[in-house]
Amino acid sequence: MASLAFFIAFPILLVLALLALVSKNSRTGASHILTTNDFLPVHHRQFEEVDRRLSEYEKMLIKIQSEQRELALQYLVELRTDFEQVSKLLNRAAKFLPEITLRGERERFWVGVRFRLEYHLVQLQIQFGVVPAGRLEALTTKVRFLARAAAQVLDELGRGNGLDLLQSDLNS
Amino acid sequence: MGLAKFELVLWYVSLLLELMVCALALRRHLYRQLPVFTGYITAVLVRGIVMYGIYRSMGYTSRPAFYSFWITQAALLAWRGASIGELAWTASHPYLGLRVVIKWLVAAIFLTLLILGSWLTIEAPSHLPAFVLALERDLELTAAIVLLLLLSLTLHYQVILSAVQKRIAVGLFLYSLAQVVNDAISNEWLRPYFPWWNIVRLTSFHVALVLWVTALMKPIVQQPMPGPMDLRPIREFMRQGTEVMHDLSARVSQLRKKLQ
Repeated sequence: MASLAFFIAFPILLVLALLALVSKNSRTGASHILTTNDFLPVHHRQFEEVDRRLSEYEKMLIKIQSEQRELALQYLVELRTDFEQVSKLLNRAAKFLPEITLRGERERFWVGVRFRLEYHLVQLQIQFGVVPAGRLEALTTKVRFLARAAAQVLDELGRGNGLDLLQSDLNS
Repeated sequence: MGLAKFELVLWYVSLLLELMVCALALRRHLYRQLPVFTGYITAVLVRGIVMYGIYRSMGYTSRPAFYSFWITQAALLAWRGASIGELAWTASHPYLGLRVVIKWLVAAIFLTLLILGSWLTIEAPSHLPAFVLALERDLELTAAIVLLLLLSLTLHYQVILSAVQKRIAVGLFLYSLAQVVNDAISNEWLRPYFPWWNIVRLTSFHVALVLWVTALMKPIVQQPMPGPMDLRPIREFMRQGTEVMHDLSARVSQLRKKLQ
């Protein structure tokens, strides 16, 4: 009877998983409609400055420690948004890379799992009035690691496909 | 013939739906995109006609009917597995790097479940129907998990599956799950449940067939698969990637200004 219960419950879980996938898929936005501008040369620059600009995270962390809880939560939300954006970018990038490894994808997967778990933990701590500087720093490090990886991927794809490199101002 | 009226009606509905799917698959040239799946659905129709002939001429409970049914059931199960493999192959075909991940992950999960399933089947009763039902149950569960994994990976990596491919995958998935439950129940109460086993099997396959008919009703829109020299998808990705990186540092600057 135990195996019968398992073989009935497990398929129900699989159906629920499929429904969750379908609802997640329907929530993703519409794909970009090609316009004339898309056929102009792609302006890409090497993002050496990304790492420098993201070092501003550290300066902000020092300020946040002495500021209110709301700021810490806001910082956390922005960090989460950046993390999700960069993760999605890397997921899409995997299609275009000539070689990706199972090990690399597994590591990226675990970074994602750890980030989400720590994010919820930090959120709880902040809501209880504690600003956990160490954990915020750890989350920031993960976002910077992924952002660096994303910048490298864009570099590699840009160079590998001979797309134009032009100087452009990141702040424009 | 030996079949109840209700079972006979289900048989006729099955044959009709299978014929419709085959006809539509040929009309839409599905054999160019998914030749293994097209072969599978044709084999299902041929098997249905052959089994109908055997039941009429030799009876439902005859020995030839018994062995024909179970041997062809095993063959169709293997063919269905190959169709799932074909779906995984065609989805990842344009993406060389990604194919590595899909291939290894799907193969690892498939082998793990197959070994587990074989071990469970060895524990099962040794007489033929119970043995085959236990084996089928485990293989169908493996197929369902592999299909769900495939759909998850295509969503994760934003690999575009055509509407036809999605409906074929969902149809195979739902049928596999229905068979898992069906075979698990019949394993517990084989004799009294067996007539219901056949009814549930046919009805759940009808659901899959209807899904495939609706998928093939409209002309198949050929997804423009990027060739090796086609830069358009990469350009689009670079455009969006540049926007993301730009927004990343802009958000940091905005937050810094708020703090000042």
